[in-house]
Amino acid sequence: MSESSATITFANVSRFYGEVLGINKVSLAIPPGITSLVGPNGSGKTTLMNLVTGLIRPTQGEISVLGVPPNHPEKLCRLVGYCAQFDAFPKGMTGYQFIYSFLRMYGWSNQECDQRTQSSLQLVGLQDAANRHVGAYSKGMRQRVKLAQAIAHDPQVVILDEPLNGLDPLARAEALALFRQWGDQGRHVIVSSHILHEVDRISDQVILLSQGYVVAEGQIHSVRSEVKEQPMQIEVRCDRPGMLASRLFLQDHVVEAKVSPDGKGVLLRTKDADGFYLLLNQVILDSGLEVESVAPADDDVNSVYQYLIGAEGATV
Amino acid sequence: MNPALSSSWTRQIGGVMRLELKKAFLSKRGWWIYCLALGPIVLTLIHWLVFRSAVFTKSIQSQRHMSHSLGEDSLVFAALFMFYYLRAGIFFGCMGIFSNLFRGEMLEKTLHYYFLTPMRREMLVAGKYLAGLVVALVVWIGGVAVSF
Repeated sequence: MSESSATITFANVSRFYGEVLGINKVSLAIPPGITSLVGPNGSGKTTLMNLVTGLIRPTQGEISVLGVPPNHPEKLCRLVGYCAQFDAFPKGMTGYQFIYSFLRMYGWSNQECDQRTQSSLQLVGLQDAANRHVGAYSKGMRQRVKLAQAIAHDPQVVILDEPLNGLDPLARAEALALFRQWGDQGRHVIVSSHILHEVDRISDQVILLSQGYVVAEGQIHSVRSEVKEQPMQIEVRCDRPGMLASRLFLQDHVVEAKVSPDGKGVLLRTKDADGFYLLLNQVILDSGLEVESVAPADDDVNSVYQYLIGAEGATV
Repeated sequence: MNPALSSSWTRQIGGVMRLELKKAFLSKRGWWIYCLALGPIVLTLIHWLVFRSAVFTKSIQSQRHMSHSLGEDSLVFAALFMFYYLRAGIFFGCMGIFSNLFRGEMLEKTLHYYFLTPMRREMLVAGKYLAGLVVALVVWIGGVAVSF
C-alpha cells in the first residue's frame, strides 16, 4: 500500500468563507489511529473535518483521503463516516429508520441494510430503543445514534465532531473504548473535543489549531518537548525531598522547585530536562536517595494547549 | 450501462424517494399545502351547507336556479379549477413542496446526511425531484378529485 493511500493528506490547504478565514495553509499527513483536533472555538476544527468529508471544498490546496480526492463522493463516502456536531435529525423517524434509510443510499439490499443497522445499533447499545422516535431520545442517546449512523457502513475513516457532548460518564467511557478499538483496528479516527484530559487518554496524536493555523501536530510528548520556552514540570516522589530541592536550587536550569504538601515529593520546573535527569542520577549515587517515581507533570494535551494557545481557549 | 451500477442508482433514488415521501407526508412543515389543496373542498362544503339550510325557506324553494344541476356544478368546478387550483394553489403548493426538499433540510440542518452518502449529486436531485413530483401529484390530483 502506498503512503498516500494509507494517510489523509492536506497540502497547503486554505479555506475562506468570503473574507473570513476558516483554515490557512494547512499541510498535514494524518496516519491511522486516533488523532485529536484541539483548539478554541473558531480555530478551524470543524472546517478541517468538513474538508475531509467533502462537505466543503478548499479555496486552495489539495486534500487526499486514503488516496481519494474529496470531489468524488461516490468513492469518498464509502471510506468516511462523519458524526457532525449538529443535534439535528430528519423528523418523525425512529433510531432504526434513521440509520436504515441512509444506508439504503449505499445501494445495498434491504437485508444487508437491516443487518448493518442492527449491528451498529448494538455497537452503541441502542438496540432496545431502536423503534423509539429519535425526537424522544435523551441527548446522550441522540449522540449515540449519530455515532451508530456514522459507522454503520463500516468506514475506514471515522470523523467525530465533539462526540462526547451530552454523554454521561459511563457512556463517555464506553464511547472512548469504542474509539480506542477503532483506532487499534487501523482505522483513522479523527476526534475533536474540548474534554482535554479524555482526549489525552485516547489520542495517538494531536493537532492543535488556533485561528485557522496548525500550531502543533504529532504525538503529545514530542509536541511538549518542542515547547522549549516553557520549563518542563517534573514531579519526583522520594524519601528526602528537602535535600533534593536544595541540590536542585544550585542548578541554573531549575526555575522552581517546591516540596509537595504531603512532604513526600518535589515538583520542579526546569529548562533542561536531560540535565535534570543526569543530576538526579548523581544525587542518588551521592546520597543514596530513594526515589519512588519520576514523572513529567505537564506532558499532556491540557498543558500543551495552555502553553501554545493560552488560557482563553481552555474550556476544561 | 453496467446493470450493477444501474441497479445501485435505482436503489439510491428509491432510498431518497422513500425518505422524502415519508418526510413530506408526515412533517408539520407541509400542513399549509394540505390546507391549500383542501381549500375548495371546504368552500364546496360551506356552499352545500348554506344551500341545504336555504332550501327549507320558501323564497329559495321557489327559485329553480338555486337547485343542483350537473351542468352548473361543472361550471362552478371549472371556475374553481381555473382560478384557484391552476393560478394559485398548484403554483404556490408546488413552490412549497419543491423548495422544502432542499431548503427545509437546510433549515433543519439535515442535508449533510445526504451529502455524506456515496451517491452522485445528480441522483440525489433526481430522487428528490421524483419524490416532490409524487407528493404534488397525490396532493393535487387527490384535492381536485375530492373537490369534484
